[in-house]
Amino acid sequence: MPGSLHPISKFTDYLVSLFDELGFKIFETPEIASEWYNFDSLLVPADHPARDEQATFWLDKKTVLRTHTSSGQLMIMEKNQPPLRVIIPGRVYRNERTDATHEAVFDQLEGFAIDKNISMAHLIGTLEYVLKKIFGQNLTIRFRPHYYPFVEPGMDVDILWNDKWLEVLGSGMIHPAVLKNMKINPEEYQGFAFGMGINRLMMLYYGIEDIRIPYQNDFRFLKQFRKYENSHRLA
Amino acid sequence: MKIPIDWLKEFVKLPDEQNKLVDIFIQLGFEVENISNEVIDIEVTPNRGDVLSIFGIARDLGIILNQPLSIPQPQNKYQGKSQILDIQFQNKSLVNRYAGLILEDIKIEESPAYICQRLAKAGIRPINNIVDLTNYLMLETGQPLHAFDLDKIKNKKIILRLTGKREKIVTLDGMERELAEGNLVIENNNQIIDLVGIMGGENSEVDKNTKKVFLQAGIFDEKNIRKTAKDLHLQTEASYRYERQIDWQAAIFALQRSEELLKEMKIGKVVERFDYQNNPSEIKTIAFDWQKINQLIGTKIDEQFIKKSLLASGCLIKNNKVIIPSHRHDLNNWQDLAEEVARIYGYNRLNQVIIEKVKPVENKDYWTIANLKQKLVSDGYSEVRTYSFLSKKEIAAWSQMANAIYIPNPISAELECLRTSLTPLLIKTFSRNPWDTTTKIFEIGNVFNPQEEMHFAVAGWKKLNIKGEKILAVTDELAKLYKIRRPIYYFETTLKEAIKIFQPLTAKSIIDELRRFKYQKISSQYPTVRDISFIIDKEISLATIESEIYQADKNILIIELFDQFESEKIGKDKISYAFHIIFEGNNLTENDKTMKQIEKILKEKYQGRIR
Repeated sequence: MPGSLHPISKFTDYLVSLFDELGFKIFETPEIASEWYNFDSLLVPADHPARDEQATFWLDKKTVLRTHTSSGQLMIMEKNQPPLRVIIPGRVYRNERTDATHEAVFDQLEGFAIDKNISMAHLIGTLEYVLKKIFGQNLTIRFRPHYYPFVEPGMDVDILWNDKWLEVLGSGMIHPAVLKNMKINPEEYQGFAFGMGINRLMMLYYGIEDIRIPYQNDFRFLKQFRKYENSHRLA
Repeated sequence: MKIPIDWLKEFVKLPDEQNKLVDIFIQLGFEVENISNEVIDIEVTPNRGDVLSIFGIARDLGIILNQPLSIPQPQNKYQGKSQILDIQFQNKSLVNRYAGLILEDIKIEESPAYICQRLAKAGIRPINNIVDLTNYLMLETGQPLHAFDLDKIKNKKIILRLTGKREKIVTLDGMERELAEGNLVIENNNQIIDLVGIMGGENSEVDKNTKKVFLQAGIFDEKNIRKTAKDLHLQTEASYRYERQIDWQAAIFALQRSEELLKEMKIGKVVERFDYQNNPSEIKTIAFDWQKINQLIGTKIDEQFIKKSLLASGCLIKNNKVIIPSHRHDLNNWQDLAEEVARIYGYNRLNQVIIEKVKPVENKDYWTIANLKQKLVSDGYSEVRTYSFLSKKEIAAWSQMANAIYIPNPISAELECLRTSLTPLLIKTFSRNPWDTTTKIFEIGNVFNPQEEMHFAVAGWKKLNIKGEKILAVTDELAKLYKIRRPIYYFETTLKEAIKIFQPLTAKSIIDELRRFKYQKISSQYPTVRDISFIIDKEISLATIESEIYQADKNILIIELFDQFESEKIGKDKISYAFHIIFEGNNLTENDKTMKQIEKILKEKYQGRIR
């Protein structure tokens, strides 16, 4: 009998292949990151209130378990030149009590694209395309301003799901100071960046009610995702 | 932040429909957490300190509602040094503005009803008219105020300074707090009477006998306040606002409003007004380049619209320079202006274009791993993704503690180390599925021993047929820890090595489209496993048989084919199958019924022979 891919892998592979088709290069960056890569290089210094938004596991005074896959942005651009499109899938960590909607260990997908004429229109268009590929062409999407220190303009994206608006990802145009940290001239290049919670999207898609379930690896859960399983349960 | 709607309506006319109001907040960038007829609760991001007040919110709404709002010119003169208080600033750079009122003929009473109600709706407890006034006006104007009992300030001499080592204060909540070094405080008569910007001291607080008040409106260095609040693990409504920066003009606005409210309450006489402008904030200007703004946003917004939007936000445009109003600490470069224009225009109206096609990229590394996973899946393995954390005990049962990274602030003792290898967690996974007898699993993930490294591991109840595989005996430490009752075969190596061993393809994998199905919730109860074995025509597809079995009972969660064989003995065109049928729960009678039903179907519909 065939085995099964973990649904997080299935979902990640699918997203990654969509971006691969759009010319994005896939990088995987370390889960242990320095304070510089995880925070300061992204304009979140220690004395900034935005630090409070992400509960962090500090391994020592200068090292963390990355709180977001954005920690890879500077790492990658130190070794690469624009124009460039990048996708970073991976595990991230938040120092939070776990419950049905909060996990300490989960998966994100970071993406960014830097070029001479990348604009917010490309960000919106690309995100809409990807979300509709996942959830169907009839999906209703809402874009609204939100604040992240490393993008300006900043933007959150919601989808209409069971009559409720649910936030699915954060994004924005890469802040000029971050581009400068990347040794890129912000007057010459522009870029967009986004981060999606893979677990969240996956949970919405399959109707999984508790974010801890995928990491408990109950075989009754995992095997529902076998390739030809569930032909009797197709929605 | 909770906003009483009737209070908001004093400053701005709101749309009648609640939905419309919610939409406007969303458009402006404030998530609405809750809305009732009386209160709207919104999330304010750290960059918008200017809207942490009723007035600030009204002003921001006014941009979209076409009701421009700005702080009125003060009617009274606030200037100069205090003659009544002798104020010394030891660190002028941390006290940008220090304005105040000296009041006499104060009578401490209950506040007017509307003030008590609005404070309560906003989540603040009413105390007395003077304390309430400070809280009310902080909520209304965004400027935190503090009231000192003037008679408690001995010889009227106050020093604003940083703390040295081991200084203490008893704050007005009655708690004695040990201060850190470098906290901004007010000293009087060799005592600390105020933890600046955070909480007042008990020794200077307003009480029922207070007759004279010093009302302070200060603008302090936001970084110092934030550090102090963190040092003392003490955050208040005041410190929250200070951290997010105060509008230079709000100090006088709040004092002006104080005088109005005191008149309304018919108490108090203003004997002095003062204003120390130690570090006036510089006026920010940004070059106005509307074409660059459009280039960033990617939408051709009309130049006039852009100008009008910036003016509506309180900016002035002179000589092609945008002059930023004092309350907008978030507007510092032209990209910030672009965001301002875009949010006023409406993010949902912006252009959308998929990023243009480029030459295909090679992502060999990723697809190699994906192909390795596919290989294992075709071979019958189920992928697991285990937690990165485990306890000291679990690591010690398996490997060298010396290599383990401890988490200094773990969520619990159970999760105090990072995994040094994958195998213990694979074994743990089996212990969490005790009803299982057939599954073999794999994981590809990072371990930390102490270097971060990608590992590959497999485990199962039968021989894996991998060179170098090992057996975990039931007497081994780890097996005893996880109560494993049968030996487990396992193999772990680095991902690099695994790729050498399994030789997966490097070309882009064929990725399945996502298929939505009705996912079935699993209960915390362990399932019951029943077996069935039968001989049937080879022609009948497994898919048909499986479908029949699943349909027999909605409590059948999973079925596992664990054996099949053909032989002369059972017949040339026949095959024998053996399934584990896994039922949710343990309703044995119902399960019996279902098994009988399945046997009946196999016999009657498919001429199967039950063994």
